[in-house]
Amino acid sequence: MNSSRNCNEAACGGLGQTRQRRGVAIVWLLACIPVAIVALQLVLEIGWLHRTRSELQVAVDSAVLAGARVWGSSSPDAGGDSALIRTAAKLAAQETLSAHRLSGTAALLGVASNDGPAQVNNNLACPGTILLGDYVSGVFSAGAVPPIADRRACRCSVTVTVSSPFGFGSRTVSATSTASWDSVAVRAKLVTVSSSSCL
Amino acid sequence: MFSPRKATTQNRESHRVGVCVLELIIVVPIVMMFLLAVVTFGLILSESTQVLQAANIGAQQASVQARSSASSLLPQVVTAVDSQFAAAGFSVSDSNRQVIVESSTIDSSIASAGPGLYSPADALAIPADSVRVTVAVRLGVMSEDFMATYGFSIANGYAFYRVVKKYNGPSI
Repeated sequence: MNSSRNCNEAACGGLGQTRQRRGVAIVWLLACIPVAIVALQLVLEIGWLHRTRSELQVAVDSAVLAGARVWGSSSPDAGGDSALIRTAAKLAAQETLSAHRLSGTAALLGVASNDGPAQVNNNLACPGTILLGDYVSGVFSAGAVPPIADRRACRCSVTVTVSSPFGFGSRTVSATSTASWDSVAVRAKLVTVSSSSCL
Repeated sequence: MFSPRKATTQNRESHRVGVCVLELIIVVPIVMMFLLAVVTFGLILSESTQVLQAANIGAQQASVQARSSASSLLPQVVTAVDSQFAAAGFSVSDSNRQVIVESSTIDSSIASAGPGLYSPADALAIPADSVRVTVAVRLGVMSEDFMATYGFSIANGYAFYRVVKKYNGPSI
């Protein structure tokens, strides 16, 4: 007795049903192709979003470094702190950000400079896209005037809506970064913020 | 001993096995194509992320140097970019990697190292007192070209990134 035949017949209910199994794999394949295509699109979408966010983060990092550089390096020898310098710092951050482009999307990184020369630290609105403020020990305060140049910081938060190239509609990508002036190294540096406020 | 019933059953068995093999032959390449597409995209994503990081490191290196023309900045930027690739475990040769440095710190200049993979003609305007570093790497150099089996080779494509940094060097 062929044990394989017995097993097949027992498992499949006899030769009649075994014959019906011919072509079953093709049917399953046809049924699974749409699911596989959607799964593939999802994988591509997640990867694309990850890459887009990395690009946005690099652009925002560059922008805050530019803002902190202009604001921080103005003191004490280059004219000190003034509304004019703060406007220039915000403009530098804005220009640097808009000089980047997210590949794979048509989105341009044009944001408002949020400049209000009559406001504290020139912050027209808080929360806002580009903020200047006081940074000390991981705390960023947009409403506090930095007592020394080393505590001058620029913070930028950007949210961009991009169209998915894989047919999943629009997606929102965000990035935030903060940089402060380091008078010892004589350059702006990226810093980690644990708490941010408008006060 | 010969038995007609047994011979018929054996024919059915062998025919069923043949159908299974035929189905396998049809299904496996399609399933493999999906799998390789996912793997290839993952490798391209990894490669492009490394290119972005290399461009970022290169721009960072250029921005902290004293104000100078692009040709003066280029050797240090190339060293920083290659070091970044090496640290990430990627072996990128000069013939597959292009580095473009543009500087507006003391003049408006541009310098390039490597083959002409990418032309920065469509780039956005570079802000004043800034540097822009573009890194382009041929795809398939840092990762396997799995989809070439199916006629979708990535060998002629390339990944590139541009990063702009404002001058952040000595206050001279």
